[in-house]
Amino acid sequence: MSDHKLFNQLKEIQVTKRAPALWREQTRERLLTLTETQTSRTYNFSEVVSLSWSRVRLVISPVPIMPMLVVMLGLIFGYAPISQAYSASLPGNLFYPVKRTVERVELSLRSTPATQGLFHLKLAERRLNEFNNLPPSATPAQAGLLRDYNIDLSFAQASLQAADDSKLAMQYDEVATELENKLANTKVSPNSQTSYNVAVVLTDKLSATALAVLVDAHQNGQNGLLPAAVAQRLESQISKIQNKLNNMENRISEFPESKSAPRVVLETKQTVVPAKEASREAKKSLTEAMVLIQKKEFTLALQKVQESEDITTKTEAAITKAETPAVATPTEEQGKVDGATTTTPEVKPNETAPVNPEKVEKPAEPTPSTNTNTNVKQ
Amino acid sequence: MSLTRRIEEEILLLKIKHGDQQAFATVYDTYVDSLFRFVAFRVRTQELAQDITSELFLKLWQYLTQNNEARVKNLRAYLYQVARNLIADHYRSEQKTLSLEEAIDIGATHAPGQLSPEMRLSLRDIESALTKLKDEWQEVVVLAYVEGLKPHEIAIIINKSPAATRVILHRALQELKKLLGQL
Repeated sequence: MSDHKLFNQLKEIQVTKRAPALWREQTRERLLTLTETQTSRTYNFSEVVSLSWSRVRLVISPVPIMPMLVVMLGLIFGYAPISQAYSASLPGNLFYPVKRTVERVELSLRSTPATQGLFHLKLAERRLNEFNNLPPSATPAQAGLLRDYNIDLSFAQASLQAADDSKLAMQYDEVATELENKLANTKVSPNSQTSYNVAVVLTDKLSATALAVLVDAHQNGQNGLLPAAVAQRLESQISKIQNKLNNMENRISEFPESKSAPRVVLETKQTVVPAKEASREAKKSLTEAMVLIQKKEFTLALQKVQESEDITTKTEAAITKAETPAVATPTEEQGKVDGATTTTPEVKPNETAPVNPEKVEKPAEPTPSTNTNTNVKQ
Repeated sequence: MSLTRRIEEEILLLKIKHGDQQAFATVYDTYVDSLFRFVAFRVRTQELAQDITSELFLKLWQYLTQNNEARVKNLRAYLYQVARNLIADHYRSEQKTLSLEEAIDIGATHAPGQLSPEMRLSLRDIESALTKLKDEWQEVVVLAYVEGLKPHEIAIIINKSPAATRVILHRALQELKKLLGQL
């Protein structure tokens, strides 16, 4: 046997000779139980600095040094062309990986869910701007940007739910409205359609969560939110859903008679109804919501709005599904953006990982937790 | 060890110092198999290898959390060093009972000199030959070829210079081949 074969066989021992799985798990549990009794020590200032610096080093360690140095020096000395080139860089550009790395560094320096969430929102906005600035031919990069947008939005959503702060919710609300407007004006290629649909759903969901937090805060007398402001916000949400329903009715009326009409499951009534009737139910909920807003019963109004939104989403999905002819699955959106993604998969111990938006297979079926009955307390 | 991995370990060590159990669990998950293997080759009984392995993780936790001045520059090296110390303590305190039949999944199928050159060497034969090496030689072969450590990393663990470690590695490999009937 040659040396090479001997070394290979020695290497194989690593695979074949392992600690028994049961013992490994039991020991793990036992060690964690034994160490549980110790109270954790707080970090002093130098340790905080050391930890932050280590995180920064971890983030920048894989990045090529030279472009990074060029950008850092340019930013420090304010050399305008470099600063401009850096901030306007798009996928495929030399500075783009550095831009994404600097974003990761900035993210790692934010220590609370609130600040992280806001930064994720900012990043989502950047990705959307980059998407809109890309040439139409750059379809793989477009798909990658939308994917990153969805990831950032999911993290932002999780942070908002973790923080449950009405001031934060107000900021989120403003940004979410801007994002919705930008998305509405975004031109999308067929290859990116699925990611785009997910982006729309996630943005809606973020807006709805922010609204729920605001209504809840008002209910609990937090932060002095004016009833008029809450009412206005609820009304704008109602108006948004109303527009969707009106568009849907046009689609329903144009639906060919030869095809079987789309049907929708109404959970509140435990029944399946045609899309037209579902649309009527949704409108009825909106009308009831308006009445409740007049009475300043915002929590109940929000419930009605959420109910209507749920029915609208399902109806839209049913119509889209029924309209779509049986074709081959669209090409996978495996867009790869130059430079690593900004969002790191690390989840801090007291956070829950957000739902992976890319698990959505059809535009009609958004991420599992689209139930927007969040943060609503009676 | 790559720069990224080194930085990750620095972060983990700092967190463990402050009682972060999740960081401790990460270290455990990363190293438990390789340390168990290392110990198992030396002590040759499964139960003892398990005891020593679990004790060494506990020692790591105690050292980091109960000692403000604790400094671990290289976590992997530190763990292997602690493993060696615990194994040495075991041999000091108990009489060494060596029997191939007590080995974990090692059973010599042939006496080394009787292996025919044409016969394919099985993993069992290699493990059996490994157990016959001198302790230090066995350690360096396991660390280098099973765990994939570089000579300078092994040198830190066995407390020798990198050059001396390379010499030991060469000699250990020659001896292993001799035991396997290849020389």
